[in-house]
Amino acid sequence: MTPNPTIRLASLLQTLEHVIFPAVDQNNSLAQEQCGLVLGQLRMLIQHMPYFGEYHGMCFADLAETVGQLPAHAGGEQSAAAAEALSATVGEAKGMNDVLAAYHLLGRALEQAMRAAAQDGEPAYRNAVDAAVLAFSKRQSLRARSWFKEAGFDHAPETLPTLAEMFGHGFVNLSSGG
Amino acid sequence: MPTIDREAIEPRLAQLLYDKQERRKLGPYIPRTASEIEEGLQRLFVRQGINAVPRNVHRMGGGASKEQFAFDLEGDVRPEFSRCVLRMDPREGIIETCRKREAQVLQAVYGKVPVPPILCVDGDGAAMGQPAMIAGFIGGVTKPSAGGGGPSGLKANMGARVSEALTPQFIDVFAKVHAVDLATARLDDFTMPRSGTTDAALWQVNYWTKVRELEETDSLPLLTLAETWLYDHLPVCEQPVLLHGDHRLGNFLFDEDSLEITAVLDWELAHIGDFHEDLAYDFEPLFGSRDADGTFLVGSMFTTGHMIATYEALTGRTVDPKVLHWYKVMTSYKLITMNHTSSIIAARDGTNHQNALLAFLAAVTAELSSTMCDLLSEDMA
Repeated sequence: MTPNPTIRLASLLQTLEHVIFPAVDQNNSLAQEQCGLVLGQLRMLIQHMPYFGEYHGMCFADLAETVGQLPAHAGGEQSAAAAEALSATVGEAKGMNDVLAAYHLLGRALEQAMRAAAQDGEPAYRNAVDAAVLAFSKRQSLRARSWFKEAGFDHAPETLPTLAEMFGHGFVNLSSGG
Repeated sequence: MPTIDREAIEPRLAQLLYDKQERRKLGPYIPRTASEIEEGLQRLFVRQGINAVPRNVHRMGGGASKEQFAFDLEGDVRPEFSRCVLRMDPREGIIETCRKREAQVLQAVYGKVPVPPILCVDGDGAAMGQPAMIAGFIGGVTKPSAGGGGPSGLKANMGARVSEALTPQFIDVFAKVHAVDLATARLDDFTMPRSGTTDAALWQVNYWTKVRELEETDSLPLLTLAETWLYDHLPVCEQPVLLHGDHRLGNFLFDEDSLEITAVLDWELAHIGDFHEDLAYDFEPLFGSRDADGTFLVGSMFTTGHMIATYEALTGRTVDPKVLHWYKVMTSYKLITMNHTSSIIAARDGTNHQNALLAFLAAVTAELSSTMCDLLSEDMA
């Protein structure tokens, strides 16, 4: 077994913070700024390390469920073809070992279906697709905000769950329908 | 329903995007040293007939999109150029913009709003290796020394005293930039959208959608939802005006003693379009903060209501809430796109001087997506 990657990263962080960065030229403002960014990014990575698999799995599961619950197609040829391709992609994506790649494959197929629905989908069909995507996006945004809470950009970080809570046992539910 | 021309983009901007795809093939970018910059400056001054010598060249901090160096200039130059700033393109960045355009717009607003004077432009990078622009150095700070905040001037605490002094100046800049006479401004590398058409709005959606088409690595269905909504609701612009395009906290300097705005910076996103666009950009929650009562403050200084009322009084224009809403969605679309596409590509390929910053900034997509969901919910409810 290789050493725990979180331990390896933490050792790098400690060395950079206490040995290398103090030796960086105080008058080199770009280098000083980069030191701060490296520390911030490493700290987030150490937090993320135990959860990468779960995070990608949660995002993919929600996306696949969202696509699976879309209404039957109604509209012209473009949207019919895109809807058929989307259905086929669900099966393909679920069979992939790389969950992150599966997420983006399925997401791109969904985006093509949305564009096609905007071209010649029946209004009710398009509205239903758009509403499903917006609902999914709200959940995805909340997950992403929680994931990147420590980056310092969020308007209300105190309202977001910790990563342990997000992947906990029903404490909060940021997956589909949560 | 009329056919929408989805390829309609300002020609100069389209060319920049396609040039960038070729430049990417050159591989990773190593930030320039001060001595390399000094040699480039000497070449540039010889080519342009400027009889002066650069001294004390040193890199400046900040600058998420451009490399910036400060230096002293000795020789036959006007006093405002005794100290200068070089603003140079990295190989790739979070946005792809044109130094010639930026210089043209700075010259167009010089004397109308506080901006640095332009010494010269190396538009194609013949001397410096990358396109570059040199301006006179102007002192000031982007936020109070004790104001805290994050990268790029975001989330700073301006405080009541500073806010009170800067608010009227900040809004006045908008009004003056929007009043520039386009017929005489000599904006040769800009293209003018037609008055009374949807050109101004369409060109914006087309441009940022083209950026996604060329540079998107990851799927983000929310962006496509916004894309289709934007195309469905293109507003007509009755009278296009000059826009700063990135006028926000962090992009202007002020003197901490006099509390006067000394320079409005970062004009690289300037273009001609609908005045609502500049307003909507400033109303993006990322560029402000909330007071104790939860009220949003533009630039962490004043309310949106104050901004609209003051702007209308200064310009005689009327802000249309529907058009403003469209441009808020457009602002979200633009900001998410740059952080979700070009920024990630540059960080991935190591083609920027601030790769670590670009990778870090990608995290802001989460917060921006939340705003976009709220905006689209208003319309789709």
